Amino acid sequence: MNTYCLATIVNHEEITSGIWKMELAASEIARTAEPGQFIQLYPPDKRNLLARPISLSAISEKSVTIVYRIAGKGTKQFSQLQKNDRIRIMGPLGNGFALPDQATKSIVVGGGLGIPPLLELSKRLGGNTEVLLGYQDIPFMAEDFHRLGINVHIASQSGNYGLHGTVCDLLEKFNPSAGQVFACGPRQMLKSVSAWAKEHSIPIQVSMEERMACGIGACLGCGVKIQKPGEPDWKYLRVCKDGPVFSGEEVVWDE
Amino acid sequence: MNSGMETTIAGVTLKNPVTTASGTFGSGREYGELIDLNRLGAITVKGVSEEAWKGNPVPRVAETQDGLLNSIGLQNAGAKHFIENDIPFLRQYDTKIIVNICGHTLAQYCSVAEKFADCDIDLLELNISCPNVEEGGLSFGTDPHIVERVVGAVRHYAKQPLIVKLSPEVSDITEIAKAAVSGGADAISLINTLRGMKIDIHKRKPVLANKIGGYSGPGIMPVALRMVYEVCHSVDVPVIGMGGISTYEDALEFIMAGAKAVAVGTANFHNPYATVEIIDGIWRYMKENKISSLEEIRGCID
Repeated sequence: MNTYCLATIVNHEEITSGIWKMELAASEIARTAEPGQFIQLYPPDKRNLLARPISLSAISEKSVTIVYRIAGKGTKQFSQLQKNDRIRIMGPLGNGFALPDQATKSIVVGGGLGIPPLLELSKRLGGNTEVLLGYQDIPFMAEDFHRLGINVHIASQSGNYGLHGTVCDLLEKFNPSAGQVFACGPRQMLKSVSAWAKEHSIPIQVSMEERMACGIGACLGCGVKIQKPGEPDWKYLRVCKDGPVFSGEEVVWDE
Repeated sequence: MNSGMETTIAGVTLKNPVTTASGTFGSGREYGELIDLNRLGAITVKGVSEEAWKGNPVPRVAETQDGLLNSIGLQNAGAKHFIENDIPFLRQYDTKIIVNICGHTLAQYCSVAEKFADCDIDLLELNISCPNVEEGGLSFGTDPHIVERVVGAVRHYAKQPLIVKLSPEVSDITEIAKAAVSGGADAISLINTLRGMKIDIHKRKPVLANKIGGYSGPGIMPVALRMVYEVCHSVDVPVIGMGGISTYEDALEFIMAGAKAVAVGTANFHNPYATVEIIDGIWRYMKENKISSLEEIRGCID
């Protein structure tokens, strides 16, 4: 059930330059949240009218954690908040990932700021999981994945960490077999990973992003083109309500 | 509890003067998870067309200081889907149903009005002011002769009282309002969005895929208030005021300018409880100022 509340910040730190981790005390939200879901955070300055949708990177009994990059006015304001400050949030929102049974081997593929929601997912998936993470340079959160005791592979476009290249290069190099692929990251990456999954006949779930207004499915701002099997044509579904997780096979990757 | 807040629009009595602005509230389903829809005077639903419309390419929304740009393009599942799914949903609640209708052609406007003729809804709102569709919409709402003709034609097919929603993008709003009334409008609502734009200087591209979209939010309120005031003084039919209303104080300004009811739009995105907070705030203001009926303050500005 969706909750709108004032949440207290219990931890807030810059984990690498411009990328922040915020833990929020929000037991109502934490109790029902699932990996892949997101929350709306309302900028303290009310002249910024729209909440910022940010996915949950960790869910505990009484708190939820997000990892965000300072990308504009809203996230800049978030970064100036201190521990014990309060912020208006709403959630949990969206559908989240559909978890396969424990026996299924999963591949988790993340790129850049698409990586955070995959942490809680990987935790739930457990041991039979291969994680492939692609960065520009500094591999933030990689330690968190290592700590789960699963196989983690890293690529960086700078070449300073792991394989020199993108996460798609990692995928080509390892060519892992699996029963399910999960991916989150930039659109072009999701497009490539979906093509790879299709080629290997592995079902894929992708977490999508789009500019959003209401966050709950009312305004139809955040459309993504989806064509369901058997449907004659695509239609715009809502990232916030029908997603953010969609079947990669059903996304129309024409943009 | 809210006695004294009732307001009547074309024979339909709303328990309080607060409704939602079309397109910001869907058909109430999503907000109904957060607020009690029974509290609302009416729910004005997202525009409905004869057949399903896909809407415009994304990105469709962009934030500006104090405002929002949208170019959704009236994506909707069409009249049949709405009639089968949304009317039964809305009728569970003790609130009036205002169905916003849209079209690309005069024939489509008439057809969608006709589809609702035997439906259990309270009021129709004719959208001749959407800036995000290439044909119909705004192009029907800026010339008084066309306004009168479109309203007259739709009036012929509509069985419910007809509200005509106006665009602010005209030099004389009273001329358009009068044309709508002479075409048969039972009420006027205004304002729809103003056309606006935002450019991403890093990408050197417009933020909206459509480049231009409708600008809404607190930034437009003074313009909306002025136009509502002018229209209230130029036509005899009830006026529903909207444009940037986000607090009860804003709503009272519109009522004092003469509005029979007000619609809350973009504020829902910033605060999902905006509608009920505005209703509660108006009630508090009435008590604090010993006002027993909103009629005492409605149109108090000469």
